Amino acid sequence: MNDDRHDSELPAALRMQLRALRTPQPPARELWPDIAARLAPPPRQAMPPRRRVRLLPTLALAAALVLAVGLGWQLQPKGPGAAPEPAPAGQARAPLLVVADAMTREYHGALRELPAPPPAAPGYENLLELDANAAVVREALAQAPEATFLLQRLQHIHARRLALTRQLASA
Amino acid sequence: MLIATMSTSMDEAATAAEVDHALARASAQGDTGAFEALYRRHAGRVHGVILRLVGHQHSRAEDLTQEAFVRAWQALPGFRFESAVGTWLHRLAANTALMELRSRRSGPAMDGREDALEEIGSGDTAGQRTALSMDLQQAVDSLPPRARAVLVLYDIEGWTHEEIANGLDMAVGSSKAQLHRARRLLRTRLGDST
Repeated sequence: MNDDRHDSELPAALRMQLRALRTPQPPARELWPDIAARLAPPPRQAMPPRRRVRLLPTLALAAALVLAVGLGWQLQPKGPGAAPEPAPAGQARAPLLVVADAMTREYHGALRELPAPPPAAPGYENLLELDANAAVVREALAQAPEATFLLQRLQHIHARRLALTRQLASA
Repeated sequence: MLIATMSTSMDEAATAAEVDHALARASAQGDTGAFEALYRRHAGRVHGVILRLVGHQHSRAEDLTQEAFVRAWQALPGFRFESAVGTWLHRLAANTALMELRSRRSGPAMDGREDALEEIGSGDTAGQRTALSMDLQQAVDSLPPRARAVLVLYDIEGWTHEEIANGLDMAVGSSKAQLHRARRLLRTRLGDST
């Protein structure tokens, strides 16, 4: 944000009117096909060192987490917490579902980096409930792929799940 | 029940930023579906700032919007996630438009056009003033390109003179002078004699 020291050059009302011009203005025509046609595969870059360092010591913990979380998921009707299924070949996924897929991959990556709380830990059942809730929201999102609030709800559940996992693991 | 719990606006802002980061990471790994989602989330803001910078020349703004997203795709593998993706895209979009403005600056047609546009609104008769009392957006659009760019970036987008000088490859003093000039012209075109 700038520090306007020339306020006297513009009346306050005009300055506010100018700021109000800062609004999103979607293009009048669909630009994506032309953009997509120009996208070459991005140059491969090495994973940033910080992330590599974070991943290496967590591989063993990730294996334990898969076992623990997998046990929890088996108790749920449709395998809650599972990664989203890929779209059938040749069928484009709705943008919001693509967002949900990317977000869920990110969530699973973060979850893998956390120590797994023991199933006997007090409050472990809350993890299972969150997984069940996430599954319900994902199903709802699949049926209503334009519902932004469902995506926000899914992210909220993921955030709660990560926070609770962290809390139980450190208890 | 968790699902019934309402999100706060802060939650939603965090959600948007985290979704953007997830999409940006997937895009950086070559996921064009994720990049399309990123495009759809930010096309309005990106196109908006470019449209203002080019004075609402729609075809030119659309071309530059495409260019900005192609540049974003190429730059994403190097994005360090130290700022919000939206902020980064907005800055990249503005710089794409400024780069084109700089390339046009060297052409004689641009200088001539600036001189011609400088004259608009400089008259002071009642008839001219009535004709030139225009909508604020139109008045901004009618400014000479460099003056318009500085005014848009400073007064609308909130950039500093240092950022503008860097983007337009000019001295900070020149940015301040262009802003002064743009504001004077703007007020004249709005029919403000104060």
